[in-house]
Amino acid sequence: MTIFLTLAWNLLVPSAVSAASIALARRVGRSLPGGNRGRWGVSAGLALGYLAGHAGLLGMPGFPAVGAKEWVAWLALGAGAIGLIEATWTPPRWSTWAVRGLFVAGLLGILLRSKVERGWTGAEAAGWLAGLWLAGMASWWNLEAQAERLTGPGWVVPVGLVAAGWGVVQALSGGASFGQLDGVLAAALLGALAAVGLRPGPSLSKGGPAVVLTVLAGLGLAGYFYSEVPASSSVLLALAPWTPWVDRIGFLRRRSYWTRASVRFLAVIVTAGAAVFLAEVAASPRLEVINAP
Amino acid sequence: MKAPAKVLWLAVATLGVGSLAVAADAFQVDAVHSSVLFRVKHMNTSYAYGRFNDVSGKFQVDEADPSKSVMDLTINAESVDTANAKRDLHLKGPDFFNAKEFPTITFKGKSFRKTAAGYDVAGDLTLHGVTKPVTFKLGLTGSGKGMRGEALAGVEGSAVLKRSDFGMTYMVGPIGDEVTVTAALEGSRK
Repeated sequence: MTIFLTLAWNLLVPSAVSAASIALARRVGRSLPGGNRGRWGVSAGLALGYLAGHAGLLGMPGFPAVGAKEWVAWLALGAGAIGLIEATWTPPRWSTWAVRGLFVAGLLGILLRSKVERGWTGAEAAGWLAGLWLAGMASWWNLEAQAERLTGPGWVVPVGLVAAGWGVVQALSGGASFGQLDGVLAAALLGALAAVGLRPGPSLSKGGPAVVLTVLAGLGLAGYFYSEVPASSSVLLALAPWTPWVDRIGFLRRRSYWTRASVRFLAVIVTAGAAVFLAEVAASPRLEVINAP
Repeated sequence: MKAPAKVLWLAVATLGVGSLAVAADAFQVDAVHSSVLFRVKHMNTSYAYGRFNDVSGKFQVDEADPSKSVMDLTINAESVDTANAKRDLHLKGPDFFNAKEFPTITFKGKSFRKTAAGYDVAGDLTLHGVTKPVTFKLGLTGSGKGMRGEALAGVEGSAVLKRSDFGMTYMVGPIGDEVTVTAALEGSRK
């Protein structure tokens, strides 16, 4: 595959599919009664954009999938379906979180199957899975809460930066394909940004967080457990989506929208940048040892 | 012990002894004197060669009755070696062998068919978490006695497979899809 084709599948196709799905959903939504405004387009757009990028770069994933990398594509589609249902129909709060809980448990079981079967003792597996499940649920809540309060680009840009940060860290840590796939998510988010416009606008909270969480957590877990992503970088990138809350600090609260937005972006950039720096530091000695005579 | 239970016990015991006999007859792979090599095309120009340094298992070719032959190999994916440590690190990673998620490569021979050149050994190759049928062209390369009087035997087999069939789809094109695998095995039997 030429560099041009790689870039096309990595950037152009996911962003185009994502933007087109969101735009189409809004157009269809406007013509339908009920005032839904096609909010389902966000989850569908991000999930389809990601699947298109994966298929273009690595081929269509098989089903059942082979390994964590392929499973993430199907799980993203599953998350897209959950987002789509949540966007078109408002189920009771408890059932929403029950379904999400089951989905996160399934995601962990599928992606970490190899570690559970061969790498961990029973106690280790229970500890890891319980801890990661709680972290996953908390991250889902955080992404949704951020998407509800930060409309349009206020949510897409920080999350896109986190995805890009993961991409660089994965590439530095021996998983170029994982890095490309994080880049696919960043590109799909870029497409969503193009569709919703640069001004604060339609909320992406319905459905968007489900797909973003699935891809970032799925590739992140695979990168940490099956590649060489350092623990420090993983923790920083897991914390990066929480940093936009910095604009709730007293003296920042009363500042203008753009000042608060700039501070939020800066907080994400600094956190993701530190993760990239630590991954680079961890990669350098490894390669020096390798290159030594 | 009641009669049916006695019969069952005897049957289990007989099967167990039978299995032990087959296992004892097979040659255990000598990792030091065995090589599992592969070659793949780079940029559609030249072949790059690599090997796996950690191979274990057993084999037995019964020339009188090929159906009684055995071929059971396990390769440690982490032991991939292409004489370039940086490339080896990449090959072990999730872009290629994904050795942390899929630590072993196995081949289990299922049928041996005598041919003019040797044997066609059809079996299941599990690579990168995917199991597919693969047929190796196998030849007997020699037999004799070792330094301690143990029986030795050697075989060499090769097969051509597509790595994309096993879900290894990263960089298909610049790095060829078709991979030739050659296993030259020496085994000993006490």
